[in-house]
Amino acid sequence: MAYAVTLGVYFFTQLILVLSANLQLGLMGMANLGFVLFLGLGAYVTAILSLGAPNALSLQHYFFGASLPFPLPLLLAMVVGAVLGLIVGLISLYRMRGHYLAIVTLAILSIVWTVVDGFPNFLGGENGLDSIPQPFSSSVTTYNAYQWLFLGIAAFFCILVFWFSERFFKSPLGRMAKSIRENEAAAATLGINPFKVRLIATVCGSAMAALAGGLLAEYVTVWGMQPWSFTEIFPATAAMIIGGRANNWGAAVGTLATFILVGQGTSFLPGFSNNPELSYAIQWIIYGVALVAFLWFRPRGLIPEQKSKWRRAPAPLGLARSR
Amino acid sequence: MTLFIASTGFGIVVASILMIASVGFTLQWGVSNVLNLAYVDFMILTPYLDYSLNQQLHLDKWLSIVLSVAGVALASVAFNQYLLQPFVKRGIRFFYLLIIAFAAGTILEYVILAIWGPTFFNISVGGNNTYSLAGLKLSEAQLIIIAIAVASMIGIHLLLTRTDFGRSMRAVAINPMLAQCSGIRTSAVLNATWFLTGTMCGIAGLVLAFNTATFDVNTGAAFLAELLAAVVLGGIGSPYGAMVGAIIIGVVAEWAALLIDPFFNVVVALVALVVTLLFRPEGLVRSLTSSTGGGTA
Repeated sequence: MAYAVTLGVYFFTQLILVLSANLQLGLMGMANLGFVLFLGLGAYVTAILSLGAPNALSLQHYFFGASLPFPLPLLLAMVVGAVLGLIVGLISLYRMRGHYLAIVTLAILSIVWTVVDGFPNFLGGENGLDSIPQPFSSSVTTYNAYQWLFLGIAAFFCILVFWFSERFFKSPLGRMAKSIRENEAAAATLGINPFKVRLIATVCGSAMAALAGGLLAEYVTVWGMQPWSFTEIFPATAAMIIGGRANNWGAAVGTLATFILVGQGTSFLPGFSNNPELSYAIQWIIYGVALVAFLWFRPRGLIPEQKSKWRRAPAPLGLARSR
Repeated sequence: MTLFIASTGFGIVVASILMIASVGFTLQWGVSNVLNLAYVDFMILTPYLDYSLNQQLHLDKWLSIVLSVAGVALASVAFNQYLLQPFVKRGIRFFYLLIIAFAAGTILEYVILAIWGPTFFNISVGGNNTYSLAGLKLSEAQLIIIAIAVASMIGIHLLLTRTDFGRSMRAVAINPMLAQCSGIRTSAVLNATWFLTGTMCGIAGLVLAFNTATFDVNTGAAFLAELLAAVVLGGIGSPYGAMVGAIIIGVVAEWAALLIDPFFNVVVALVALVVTLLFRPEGLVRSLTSSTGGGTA
């Protein structure tokens, strides 16, 4: 049972990340591959704001450090994520589209990753950060009860983000985003500023990814270089495309299918003594094959994007038949 | 000063590897307009094949090198012909094409991990003799790498300027529709291009493994940053630009490693990439291709 609750927490946190990808890559159609950067930064901000000032006893190195009460580290992580998203957006979105945007966001991700990796005193480097405090852990005594509590926290934030995302998709801003994705020149002719809409989507998506990172860091209590490396772009993108691009329910189904069914299912494979990483490799091969198969056989995903519905205006009297 | 000369020598070796890889990558991108993120994974497949053929099946050293490079070239033709082109013919958006290449690279990387396992392997070429040239100390393996790079660059130059295939390749890169109208078989040119670039990719993977002596699955992915930087700096789709970009990135990154910190060579390469895209997106050398890099995804 505790395992199922753990899976639930992972589902909700990963869903926030996939929703962030869905907003930027799905709805907006930006090839922004740098979204996992904000997952990592959100986790680091949450960690250093709840770990307290570093001391010699803690045996880990990071700068600054504060111990703020529960929701503040997460909220500040979102603020930092939004501000950094704004900076990255200003650098990359102004002139770049398509392949160029993909390369630049990938490059920014790699620059920050390498710098964090290379300065162990800055954010822990490759040793990472550990014993990140879990919220309310002192008031709940048993392990199982705490899992349920965290499931509630993750579900609360996830539903909030889902609601925000749905509102974004259905708002005039969401329709602008769709029109820019489909035909940028036409959208610009109608007076929409594509740069501005792209920037808003990037800032919102970055804040969402930072929240996902903060929740993950607080749940697993350790954070390092691996969970936000270059390769982690792939499962989130696969979840988005398999579920259905630019559809939030699709993102939920895709997250369930990739992260939970495949990701956890392969861990039940029998162990292979000669190659310990074989089940891990099989998991990633399934991700890749499933993604290509979906793009060929069902490119719109499990739950396709909804077309905007328009109610036909009542025809004026006398014109109803004449066309 | 001796350190400076030594790092310059090492930079020239890195630049040679980078040159072979980036010319192949940029031709592939220019001619078929695909940002092939799987390139580095095809690259790292070559030393694994070579290791198995030479050290497990005990084939002749040169025969196994030729067979492994040919294997990677054929694999990359098959990747284009049977995976990318069907999607291209459907008129898929560039973003999905990028993701498909990413997926293919991921599949390949983890197939390698499943077959060969996570340990480091070792292949080598040349003896332990070192030669010094005007203060540069280079080992036999490094001299072989530089020689291979120079030979393949001369080959590419002659191919592009003196043969019908080279000329039709340039024509397809500039305007595929017009090339087809003037009687060029674009699909055949495309396949030949992927074979050529696949060969260069294979050679690059091999010399990368010769240079570092040991390699594992992540060796290729670690090379992606410098590869993209060299290609973008030179101008996308421009083979001569890629040569210049590779020399700049290779040598300057080694100097930065000497001056600041060894791990900074990747950061220097990536910063060069971002700055180039921001202020001179066409690169140093005017490119062959008309591709705009795709619109919105």
